This record gives sequence, structure tokens and C-alpha cells, in this order.
Amino acid sequence: MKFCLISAGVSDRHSIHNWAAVLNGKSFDGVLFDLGEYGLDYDYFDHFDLVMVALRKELIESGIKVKQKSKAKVVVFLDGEIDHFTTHTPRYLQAKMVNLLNIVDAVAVLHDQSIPLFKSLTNRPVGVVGLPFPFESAGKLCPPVRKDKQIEIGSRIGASLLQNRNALVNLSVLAQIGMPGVIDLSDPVEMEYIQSIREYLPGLQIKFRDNKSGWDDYIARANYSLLGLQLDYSFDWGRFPLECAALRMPCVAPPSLYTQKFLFPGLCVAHHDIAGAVALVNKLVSNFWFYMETVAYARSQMEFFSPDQCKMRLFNLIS
Amino acid sequence: MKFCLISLMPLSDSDGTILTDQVNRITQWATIMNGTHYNGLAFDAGFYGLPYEFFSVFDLVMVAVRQELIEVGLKIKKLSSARVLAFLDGEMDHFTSMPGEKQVKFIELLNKADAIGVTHEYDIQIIKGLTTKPVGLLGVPFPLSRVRKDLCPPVEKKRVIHVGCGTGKSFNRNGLVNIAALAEIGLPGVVDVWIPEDIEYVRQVKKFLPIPPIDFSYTPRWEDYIQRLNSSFLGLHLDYRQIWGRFALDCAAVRMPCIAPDSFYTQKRLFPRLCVDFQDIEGAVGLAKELLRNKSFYQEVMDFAESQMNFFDNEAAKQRLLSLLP
Repeated sequence: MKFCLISAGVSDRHSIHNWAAVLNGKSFDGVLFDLGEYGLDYDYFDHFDLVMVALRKELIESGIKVKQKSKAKVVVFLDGEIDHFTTHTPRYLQAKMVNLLNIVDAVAVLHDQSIPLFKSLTNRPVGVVGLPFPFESAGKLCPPVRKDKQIEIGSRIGASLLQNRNALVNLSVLAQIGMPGVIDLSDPVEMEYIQSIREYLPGLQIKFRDNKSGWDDYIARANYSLLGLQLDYSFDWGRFPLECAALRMPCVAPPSLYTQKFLFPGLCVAHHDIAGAVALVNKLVSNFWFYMETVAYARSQMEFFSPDQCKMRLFNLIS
Repeated sequence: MKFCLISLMPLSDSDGTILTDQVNRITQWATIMNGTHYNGLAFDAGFYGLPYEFFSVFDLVMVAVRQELIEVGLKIKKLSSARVLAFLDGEMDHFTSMPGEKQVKFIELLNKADAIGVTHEYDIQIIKGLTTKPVGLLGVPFPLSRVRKDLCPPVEKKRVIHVGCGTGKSFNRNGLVNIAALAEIGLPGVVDVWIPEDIEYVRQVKKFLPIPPIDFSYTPRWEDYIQRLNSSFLGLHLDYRQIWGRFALDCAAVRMPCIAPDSFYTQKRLFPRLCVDFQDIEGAVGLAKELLRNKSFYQEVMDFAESQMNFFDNEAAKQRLLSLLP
């Protein structure tokens, strides 16, 4: 099958771009394509059997053009948290999104709880497909190691609004646990933020990790953490809990992250449940068997995220 | 107690005077405390010609905190002798997802203010982890007596659903989910609009969804809005914010049920049997149909809501405020 991915944004190994890799397909930046940067017209997509549009608001109109101007089958993959589409997308584009949802061949969502909503917006097939996980790379990069007593944090306190999804809630938990948290540093100013906050939260310990080398470097270094923590209010796929499972470490997070719900059902807490998160972390640290059982369960579920399983779900959805 | 409210409410001729308006919005705090109100950004820009030391004439200044008013709150605390209560006037993610620099200032304010008021019990744990000052649920006082006695007598309800989040340019949080639910329920809806363009959005979506007839309601005055609401049969507000939730309370006040998530504190307290996840279209549709079909269910739900209404009244809110102050 000739496959093409149209997406927006930066590529890394554990991202939507992995779809092009596992299907031996091509990948284009949809915004640049629309601007003519590739020198190709939309009927170019006739070359493909299936085009996956990784939908963000920037690509709604491109998705419509691919479907209208080519003969390819088109699957829309909602590549973002639900509120991105229901709130943060301008209204005229929301109306166009509903149009797109009704002309494509199938709609892939990131969370099973989003299925009823999208089924009410389209008569096309709707299902969870998810992101294929790069098991092979992770396996090579992350051998079993002795874990350090530190918590990998799934969100960070960055300079821009987009980098701060619920960071403060995670810091509130960390301050109460008293164990160091590890955060990838994208800008030195983030260290200053934490320094200032520590004046009021003396229990807060953060280790910053300078990570400019991308996902491979991140995952190799995250391997040394004892457990993961990501309290987030978004309904989303949740790359972080999956990475934790691959690193043989448990993750405490809300079930609004689909991977968390699937891999760590015993470690799900509401995003606002600070006491629940603290209790679970303390139990994981103090109870070796609970830790091991939790990790073993997650590892037993990981096949669901393999490229083969993801491909099978995609093919079932479009067939 | 001399009380002052600082918020982002638009500038008004009544700024600086004792407020008497009885409406369901943040200014109701100034009304029930016989206090005054100033717009925080205008104050900071010198619009009122007053220095921050001016606040020393008050015993208590409530700062309705949004991102824009964090530094104003810090200045009031630093430059006046008034006690300062930081009231978190927004959904929790507004505060927990701000840019880093703002978060630092926010934590400073949480620790320098005399007390922190929140709008949902779920917020208490989060904020308690960030400050040593007292944290408690306050919410917004509701002018129940005025609504019941003056504005909204019992009326025969029309079989229409009033939607709690508009489709407006500025007020379009999760509007699409509510329209999708309306389409599934199949009952006519009422949607609040602010400009003609808001109607166009629904018209565009209607090309693809079987949206039932929608009555667009333009009621900028709160009194007109609540009177209009009074004639509806049911409220619907599917939204993911963790916040107080004025709409569910408006619904209870006009004697009609509301379907919404428990991330609205008012919904959780008033209508626990009508709580659904914000994207649970099937659940919302099922509940709406049950309310339409089953009169005794409708009545039971309303009896329970009525039993909780005192919690939201002016006097109960005032007591919560006074109890929170150290």
C-alpha cells in the first residue's frame, strides 16, 4: 500500500511521523505543501492508496483539498487534545472540520472516550488507532539499568504558554513528595523559575537535564528514573506513560491519557488529585512488589502499541 | 468591614461607589459586602488617579485573580495595609498552565496574600500544596431572593434546551460538543449570541449535522438573560473546565435541571445525578431523554437541587468568606 502522511510540526522518533516510517510511506509538512514549497499540486496524492492527515487546526483546509482534489483514500488522525478542536480552533475552521470529518474515509481518535463525540459529528467510521511506538529503538537505547531515586516529570515549566500544560500541579505534588523531579530543560530561564518558586516551596527539588539532542537522548537518560508523573487535564493519547512502560518504570497520571488508562489502570488519578498522586508514589517507593506488579502489567499490554497492532487497527478502520 | 473588589470587569460609572446591583457575577461580592469595585488594569494604569496606598482605607481587598491581575494583587499587598484575599477567578488550568514567569509571580501572590479563595473543592489540594496561607472554597454569591421574587416567577416551561456555553467568538468553549449533543437529543435549543457572526457558525455546522431549530438569544443584561432562561425546560453545558459554574446555578434558580460535568462545582453539588463527562454525548442524551420522559425523575432532581440552594445564597457565601480570613 502506498502511504503518505501529512502533518505539521517537528518530527521525532516517537511522534505521528512514525506512521510514515512503519508504512514505508512519504511524509509532507501540510502547511508547506499548501504554500507550494514542494512544487506539487494536490492531485499529486493520486499516487497514494492512503493519505493520513494528522489533523491540527492548521491542516483542516489542506485535508479538504487532499480529499477533493485527489482519488486517494483519506483518514483523518486527530493529532491533538480534544479542546484543541472544540475550543482553540476558530469557529469558521470548526465548521470546516465538521465538513472534513464527513467527506473523509475514516476518522482516527486518540482516546476511546472521544469516540461518541466524533460519531455524533460524522457518519464515517471512527476508532482509536494511536501512535506506533518505536520499540526497536527504545530497546537498543534503554537496557535495564539501576534506577536512581528520582521522578521523571511529563510536563515542564517553560517560558511559553504552550510548554506549561498543568506544570504547576506537578510541582505541587513534587513539593509534597520530597523526591527530586527530573525535567528536560529547553531554556536556562526555566532554572530561574524553579529557583524563585523554591523560596515558597522549600521541599521542591528539581534536576534539570539539558536535552538538545532529541528523543533518542531523552529516552536513554529518562531510563535512569524510578517512576514517571504527569498530571494533565487533557484528553489525549499520552506519549509519556507509554515511554515509562518501555523504560520499565511505573507512571502516575490521569486516565484522560489513553495510554495511562490502558497500561497503568492501578496508577490512574484525577489530574487534580494531589493526595492520591502522593499516596501512589509513596506506595511505589515503599512497596517493591507493588512496583514490580505494576510494571509487569504494563509490559504485558505493550504489544497493543506495536507497529503491527497499530497497522491492523488502521486497516480495520479504513476497510 | 470596608471591602473592595478588584477585578477585570469592564470600566463602569459605578466604580468606586458602593455597589448595589444584585447579579450573578463577581461584582456580587462587592454588593453583599457593601463594598466598592475597581477594574484592576485601569487602576494600575492610573485611570482612577489613585495610588496603591489608597487601599489602606479598606479592611479587606478581594483580588479576583486572573493572569493579568497577579502583579496588581502583589502591589496592593506591598503598598497598602489592607488584608488581601486572592480569589482565583478562573478555571484551574488558567493558573496551572501560565507561562513560567507568571507562575512564579502567582506563587508569590499565593504566599503573600492573607487567604486564598477557590471556586471548586478540587482546587483546594492543588493550591494548598503551593502556599502556607489558608485556602478555602468561596465561589460567587448568588442573588437568589431577587431571582425568585422579582425576576423569575414559576412559569410553564417550553420544551427547549438552553445551552450554557455560547457559540460566540469570545465565548466558544466547547460549543461544538454542545451543538453535537443537541443534534442527538433532537429538541429545539436556545443559544446565547453576542454578534450576528455567532449565528453564522451554527448555520455552517448545520450543513453537516441534523441540528434542531435553534433560537438565538441576545441578552447582554443579566436580568434579561435569566428571565429568558426561566422559560426553558432544561440546561446543557458540556465543558471541560474545572471552575465554579454559574450556569448550573442559574438553572437551579429558575427551577430547571442542568446536565453538565462535575468539573463545575455548582453542578456537582446541585445536580449530582445529572453529571456527565464533558464529551459523553451518549450519557448527556440519555439523561435529557429521561428528564423529558420521566416527570418524577425531573421532580426528584429539582427537589434535591432546591435542598442545596441555601449554600449559594448571599449570606452563606459571606459566612464562608469571613470564616476563611485568619
